[in-house]
Amino acid sequence: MSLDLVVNVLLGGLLTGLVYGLMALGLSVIYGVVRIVNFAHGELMALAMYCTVVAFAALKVDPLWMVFPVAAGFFGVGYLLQRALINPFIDRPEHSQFMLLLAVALILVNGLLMAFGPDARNVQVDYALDSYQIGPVLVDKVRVVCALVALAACALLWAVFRFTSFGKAIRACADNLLGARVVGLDVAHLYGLTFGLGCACVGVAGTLLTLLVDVTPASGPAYTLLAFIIVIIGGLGSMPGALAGGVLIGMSEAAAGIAFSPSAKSMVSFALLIVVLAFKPQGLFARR
Amino acid sequence: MSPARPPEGAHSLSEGQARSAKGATASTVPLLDVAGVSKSFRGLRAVADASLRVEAGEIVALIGPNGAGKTTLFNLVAGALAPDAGSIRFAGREIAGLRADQVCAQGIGRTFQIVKPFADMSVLDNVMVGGFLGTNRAAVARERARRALAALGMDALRHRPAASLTLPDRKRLEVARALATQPRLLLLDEVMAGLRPTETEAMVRAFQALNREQSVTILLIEHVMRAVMALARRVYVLHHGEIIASGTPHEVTRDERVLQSYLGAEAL
Amino acid sequence: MNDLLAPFLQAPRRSRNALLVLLALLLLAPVVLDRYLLSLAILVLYFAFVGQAWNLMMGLCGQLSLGHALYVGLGAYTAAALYQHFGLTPWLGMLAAVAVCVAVASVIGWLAFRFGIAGTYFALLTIAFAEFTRIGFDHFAWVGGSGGFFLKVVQQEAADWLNLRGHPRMFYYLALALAAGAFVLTTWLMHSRAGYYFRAIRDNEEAARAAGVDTFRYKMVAIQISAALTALAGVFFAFYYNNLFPEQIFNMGRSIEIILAPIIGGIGTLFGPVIGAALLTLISEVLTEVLQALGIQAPGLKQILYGVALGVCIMFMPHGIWPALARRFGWQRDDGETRS
Repeated sequence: MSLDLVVNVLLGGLLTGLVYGLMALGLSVIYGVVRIVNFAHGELMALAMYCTVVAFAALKVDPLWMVFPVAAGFFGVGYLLQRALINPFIDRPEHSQFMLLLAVALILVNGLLMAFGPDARNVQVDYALDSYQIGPVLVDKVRVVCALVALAACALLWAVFRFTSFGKAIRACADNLLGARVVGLDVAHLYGLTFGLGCACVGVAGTLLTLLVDVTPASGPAYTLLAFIIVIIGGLGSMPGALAGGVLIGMSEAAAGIAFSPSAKSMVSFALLIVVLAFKPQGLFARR
Repeated sequence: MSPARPPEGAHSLSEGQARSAKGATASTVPLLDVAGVSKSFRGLRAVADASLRVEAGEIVALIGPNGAGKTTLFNLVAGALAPDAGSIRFAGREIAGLRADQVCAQGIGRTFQIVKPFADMSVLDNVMVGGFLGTNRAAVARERARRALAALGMDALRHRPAASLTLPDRKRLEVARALATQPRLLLLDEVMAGLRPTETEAMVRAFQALNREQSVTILLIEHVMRAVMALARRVYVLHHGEIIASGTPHEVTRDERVLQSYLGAEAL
Repeated sequence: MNDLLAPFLQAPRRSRNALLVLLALLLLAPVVLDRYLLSLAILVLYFAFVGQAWNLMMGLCGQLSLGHALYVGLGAYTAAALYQHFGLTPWLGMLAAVAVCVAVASVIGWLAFRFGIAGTYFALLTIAFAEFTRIGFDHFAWVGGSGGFFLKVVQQEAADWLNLRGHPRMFYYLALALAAGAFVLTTWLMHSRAGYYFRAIRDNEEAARAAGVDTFRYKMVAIQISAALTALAGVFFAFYYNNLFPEQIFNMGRSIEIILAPIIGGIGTLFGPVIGAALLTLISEVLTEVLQALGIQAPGLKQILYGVALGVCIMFMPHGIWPALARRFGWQRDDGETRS
């Protein structure tokens, strides 16, 4: 196993990890504000992936362009989901909320199964096999592009929270719900916006991932679990934590892939989760 | 870890406790001896070098403006929090750092300022949870529970779901549950809040009876001054985490520092 | 001994008689049911049993486990491997299965409860363990890996109770014994100190501590008992179905299957899991029949309907069907308390 190979693989893992980070970011944002654990997160991402695959198959639309309609569409879906289904559940005990989203996840996964069957689908773009050469290191062009788009999306999200008025309002809700209500903020609407933003993240991440991996209906639950692992490792509610966690997972998955076997990839992620829960349950970057 | 309490029996409360209570007074070891206790939260000093003592058989009140650190002090004594410094001795034994359930087993029962009933259980079942301390026989727990409920005049409500009780009744439930653990010291956190005058009277009488007939020592946090005057033999005043005055209710309510700290306290 | 029998002796005559009648019916069922209905009945009893085991942890003690398939799988593989490789009778294999599952549950419990990991985090931890084990067993060659592990199937009418080989009738009675046993155990627990402490922990852990409950210890006990019972379900599973695949037995769908019955039937109640199991099996079979009759091939449709059922139940009947039924039929004490 040459050093070049190891570096290549790890770099690839890092770049993929940034896309994972975007996915986890959506989850973290939702939890940080609405305080709901979105158990249907990965399933939503699988949905985004299938949308992209279908669009590519039917209209030859490059996934990179699909990012925009998917982001907008998923924002809407998230908003509706929050206001119509989840809002009435805000005051219910945690396990009830969990179960509700579990139900949504079940319906999504099996809906996808019914619509598309169990076989893997993917997207093959013309530039899929191109690569950049940076010194001795060979890096896939798609991975770099995806990672850049993911970073851009994260930056955009950060800007929204920092500079826009509704971004600030959302942060106010997260910090002090009672105060926000007293001041007259429409919390239901803001929660809807937050969920929408979280879903938009997950939608973009999904679109990007179609360039990197195959999708099956079973991807949904797998990514939900992965998103949770990343968020817990990084720290629930911490934005930089989600990205860092994503990178960590991406790299360890890649490393496990060459060190053990490809199917052992997720075992490493779970092992990491168990280790983090055992020694630093609030997450590596937690501030809550 | 064996609890330092009298052996179990059907009518365990009065004799054993009275005996040990008298014994404690005779040897002048206070039942509760809090010395120099401090607790900070992220740089904010909630309790600063506080000391107080409660003799067996007394009723002592802890008063002070909101945010003074009274509940924090209770949490420290009851084992819900560990102090950063200082010692807490109960019947001569150091209990600082023990878990809340261990402190309860030592003989301290407590209520919470924001009531915490077991909502999906009946009133009787709620109190039985306390009654099971030191025994695993349901009959014994039930017996203790019913006696505790009777002491607070709640026996008729025993089959109601706890979630259906009014706030004053929930507060009484908290007391009953703590009482069922057969404590030597009862920590009551603002149990009179929100009660009508007649209800307050009833509670005061119940506590006086408990203190007199079953030798339950009481340390209470209270804002309702009429209860403090009626019940407490001594009063401590806490302000910004520090004990700023102590003495009889009359002395304390005329103390300059105390009046200032309250900035126009409730009518005396 | 008095204390053990007390809940049954003190139950009102009407309930006691109803239970006895039910028991009699269940005992006689194999005589009248055909093979197909018998297999359905076994399923109902199995899910009632495993649902009750899960219910102990969740409904009674408030700890949400979404990875209970872990114990089914571990129990199944342990007993099956010991039987297939060493000829060890499942009655002893059962003990090993329970030991393994209790050990694993203790690890999970210790990891979680030591740091007060609760609610969602805890549920995720259980999922992680189940998934980890699933992938691990895919590579575990000694028990067949992903290709599956198979027990020698013997077609015989006579019941070989030592090795648990035989006619479904034998398995029916086994399942009935398990389900009835869980019922009795839960009843007894609910009236014991542990039961009171569990429910106190479920309703308000901090208040429980203040009332003298060692919450760490009792949460551990809850998770251990639940795991031990589920291990038995695993052993049953192994010897009834005779084949084990990691992808199937450990997967999350299985964990969800386990929790559906008690949730729909009524979390934290005695009869909830039973009613839920009966209802779900009924709906599932009716659905399969209908789809077959209409010639619709729809993999996943059943699961979608499960999802809808779960969602509807959570939204409108969060406490499950049993409490709603009990209220409707007035099975309550006069002062408004619902029993069992």
